[in-house]
Amino acid sequence: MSPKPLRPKALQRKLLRDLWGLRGQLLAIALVVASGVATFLTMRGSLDSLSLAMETFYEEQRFADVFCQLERAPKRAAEELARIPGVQHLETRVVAAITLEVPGSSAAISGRLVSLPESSSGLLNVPYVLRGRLPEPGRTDEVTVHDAFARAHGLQPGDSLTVIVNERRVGFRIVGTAMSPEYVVTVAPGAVVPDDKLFGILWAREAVVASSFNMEGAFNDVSMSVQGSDSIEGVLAAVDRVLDRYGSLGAIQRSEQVSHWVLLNELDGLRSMAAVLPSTFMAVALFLFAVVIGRMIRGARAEVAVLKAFGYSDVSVGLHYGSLVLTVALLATFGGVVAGGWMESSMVGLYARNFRFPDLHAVLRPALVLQAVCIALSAGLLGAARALMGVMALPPAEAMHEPAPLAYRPTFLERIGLARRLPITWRIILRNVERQPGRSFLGVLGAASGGALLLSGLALQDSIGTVLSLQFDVLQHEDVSVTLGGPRGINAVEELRRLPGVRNVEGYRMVPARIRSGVRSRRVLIEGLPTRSTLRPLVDDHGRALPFEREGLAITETLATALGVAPGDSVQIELLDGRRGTRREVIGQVFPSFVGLGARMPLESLTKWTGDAPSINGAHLVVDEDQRLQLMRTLIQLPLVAGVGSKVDAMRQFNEMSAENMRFMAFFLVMFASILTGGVVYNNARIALAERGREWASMRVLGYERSEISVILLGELWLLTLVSLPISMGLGYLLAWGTLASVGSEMYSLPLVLHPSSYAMSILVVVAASVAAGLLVRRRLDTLHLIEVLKTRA
Amino acid sequence: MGEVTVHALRGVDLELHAGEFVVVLGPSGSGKSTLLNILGGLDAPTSGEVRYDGGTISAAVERELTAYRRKRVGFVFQFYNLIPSLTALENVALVTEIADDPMDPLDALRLVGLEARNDHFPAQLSGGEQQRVAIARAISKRPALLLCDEPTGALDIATGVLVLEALQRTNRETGTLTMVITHNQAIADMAHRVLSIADGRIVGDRRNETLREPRELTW
Ligand SMILES: Nc1ncnc2c1ncn2[C@@H]1O[C@H](COP(=O)(O)OP(=O)(O)O)[C@@H](O)[C@H]1O
Ligand SMILES: [Mg+2]
Repeated sequence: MSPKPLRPKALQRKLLRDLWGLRGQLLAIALVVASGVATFLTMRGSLDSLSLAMETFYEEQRFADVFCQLERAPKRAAEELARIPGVQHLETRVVAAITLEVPGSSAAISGRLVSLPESSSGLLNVPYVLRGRLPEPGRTDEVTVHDAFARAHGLQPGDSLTVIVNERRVGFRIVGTAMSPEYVVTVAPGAVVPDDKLFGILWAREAVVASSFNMEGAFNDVSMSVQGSDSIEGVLAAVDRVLDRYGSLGAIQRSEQVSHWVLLNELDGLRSMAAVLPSTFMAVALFLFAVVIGRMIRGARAEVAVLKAFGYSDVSVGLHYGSLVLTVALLATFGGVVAGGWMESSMVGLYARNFRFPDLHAVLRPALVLQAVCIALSAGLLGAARALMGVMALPPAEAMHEPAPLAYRPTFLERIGLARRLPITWRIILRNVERQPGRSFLGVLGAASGGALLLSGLALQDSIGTVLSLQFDVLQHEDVSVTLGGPRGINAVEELRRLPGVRNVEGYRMVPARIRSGVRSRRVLIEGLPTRSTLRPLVDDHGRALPFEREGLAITETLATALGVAPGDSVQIELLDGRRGTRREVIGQVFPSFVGLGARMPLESLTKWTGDAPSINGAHLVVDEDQRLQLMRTLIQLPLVAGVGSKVDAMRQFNEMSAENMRFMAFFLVMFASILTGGVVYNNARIALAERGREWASMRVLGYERSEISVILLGELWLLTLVSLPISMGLGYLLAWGTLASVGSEMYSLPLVLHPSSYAMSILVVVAASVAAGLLVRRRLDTLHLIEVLKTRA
Repeated sequence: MGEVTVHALRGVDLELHAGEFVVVLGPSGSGKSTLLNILGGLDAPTSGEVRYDGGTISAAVERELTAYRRKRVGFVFQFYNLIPSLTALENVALVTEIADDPMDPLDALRLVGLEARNDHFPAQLSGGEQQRVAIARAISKRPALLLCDEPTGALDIATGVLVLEALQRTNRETGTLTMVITHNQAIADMAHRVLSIADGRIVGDRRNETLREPRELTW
């Protein structure tokens, strides 16, 4: 005999036979494991892909660390900034709000004209040219436009467009398209949703931009790279000190920069999803491995005894069953990696539409794949550990004996005297459920997991939908809003009111400010609104209008929490609109809001306070819908207007952007929920069949019909499914709560909202999956071997 | 697996009558169970006919066979085949619930001397007690035909005797045609009629002049 009896052919053949015999159940487990692996790879892979694209892009295009906008500073002020310790590179620019006319589009388009240093592509925030080139130094008629804007309008290098700067119309020729780390996501000032058709970024040489805005020898924007992340706070404070007298709006760091902030939020969301989704699958897989392998080994005690009696060691018998588990886990992982790779590239493809990176492609690091393999294998081994240890510890002689039959007793319901008239079949069902309460409970939990997962995913959609409908229907009653080039006298409101189609106008004034209470401080935009604002009401949690207090500052709950203040407390306010006055103000009111940090006060008090005559820098308009487009074109042409947006456009844009993401999400959620619930119910059914098929065959012999036996199998399964429904919904609610809390931040929060339709959808999927799984197993009752069971012992 | 045709039964021609207590003897593998399964509507012969009370069982479809078993046949198996989650009484009720003219389940248990154990689960009963519950279950529907496949096969002598007594009493009190399969010659002495099977054929069919009581049997 050869000295390697560990894995002889016989054992290997037996392994294959075992695998084949359990193929349905193992396939169900494999689907759960594969889904876990696939979601893990999708979420973490997308996270990697986005992070990598971001880091490379930021690094190669030298994205700045500190940014500051100001009114106007002479170039020599930059020398002072460069001397701030920690500042590595520094670049001054002229950045201006513009209005655009694009051939073939009648929309009211606004944008931003960004200067490039006269003779280089710059030190920081360098545009990445995709097509064509940057404007030639000295050329006054050349611009490079953001690639997303060019695509939205079908613009090519060689096309021309008109820019209205400072009331002058200037024709430019497009010489190229580019992307920029500053504008991975482009959101127009005041807008909620990015819209590439209505807002564009243009780059031109500094001389052109400066002369158009009367900024020769001066700048209104500065970016800096900083050495060592510890010095950022110091640099921010120093920059504020230097630029204070030049009308600074306050220095900000990357995390406050709009584009980067949106990206960070997305990455955070992905990170929390990457934790929740795969863990759910792996927990269910663990449970399924435990019950299926446990059952298989219990059913194979006699075989194990024979193997051991023939001299197979405990280890080789353990290895035999262990390798079955590993085979399933590995095959599943393989499937999961393939599916995950595909899902990840779809997801990254969706991201590529909303995040403008020159090179965003799906990456799947081998280390990540290896991690997924390890997770899947450990789920399998941990799940089967008890059963495997049991089989190894089983002495050959004992294995020959049957395991002691489990004792039954009347159910709780019967013991307390209820259900005395329960039909016999239901007594069988209930007693079996009660006999192994732990397993029944885990089975219920497993079946519930699918619905919970689906519900929590739908909660995210419901929540976003609610915030938007609250925003659009309750908080924002205007049809069109206008941002002005700068503060204007209050008579601008009358000027707007006279335009054809305008039915109502409310002017507002937005002032950036830093609000302090003790050592805590936050940077917010203070919104000055008419005291009796009807277009921008304050509402409570239920959407009911709150009166807007005349006295003091009204702040959001999040801001109140961040600062640790309550109505009646006073805070210190430092205006950052170039007039940098500070003063104390009493908190008059705290109101709920999803937009995180925010503050508002009556327009008159705010402007009195900034020292101006009553003034506005924007207005909300109610207009006749059939005159809206014409009116928006008129508005954007007005010298005082810097940008125009409409609610209809924002809603449309949001729907376009999110509809596909939501369909993508919903599709996978439903699939995963079905796999989880279906997989658990199917395995529960198969195990019931394996353990009690004999019992049912006996009943068939005694004259019970197939349909009467089915009641026992399906009744038990569907009873457990029924019990799992409320648990599923409860878990889903908790999961939704956790997810939303982890996705939200100080900048915004998502309310926990679940529409009845989402509950209905989750329940429907759970019920459908368990009905389908039950029926799949029910077919096997037709082939129950009646004679076979009579020959063998229980 | 190779294609080997096994003839479990060959050329069997047999008539059984109401009220008879029949013991079928034969070595293991001789076809006893096959005969019983065919008579009970669990199996169908590849050729030949089985008639019962004017009907042809061998031509019946699945649904008709189920109804036949449900209404006419009582089974007792070597391994009892009780439902572990049901008490003794409930195991009997399992059958009476679907029968046309059943006994009271408790009466059926009384016939096998187990009325006091009616609320015990199979796990709380000895093998012999379980088998007596199985007999109570089989007779409770007042079957026309009581088929018992090695009912004492898994039991010791004393317990086996109790089980046989229960069968005999039932046969006497209800006039049920009772067929007991065994490879145990001794049991034949309590039967009205003894069939011997060997190699799939009926090789003997005799009637006992005097019947012995089960407790007089030894093996
Ligand atoms: N499912 C089956 N497939 C093939 N042969 C069978 C099957 N069941 C029984 N047999 C064969 O039929 C013959 C009679 O079996 P059986 O009626 O169980 O014998 P007994 O009950 O007298 O011991 C035996 O040779 C047995 O091997
Ligand atoms: Mg037999």
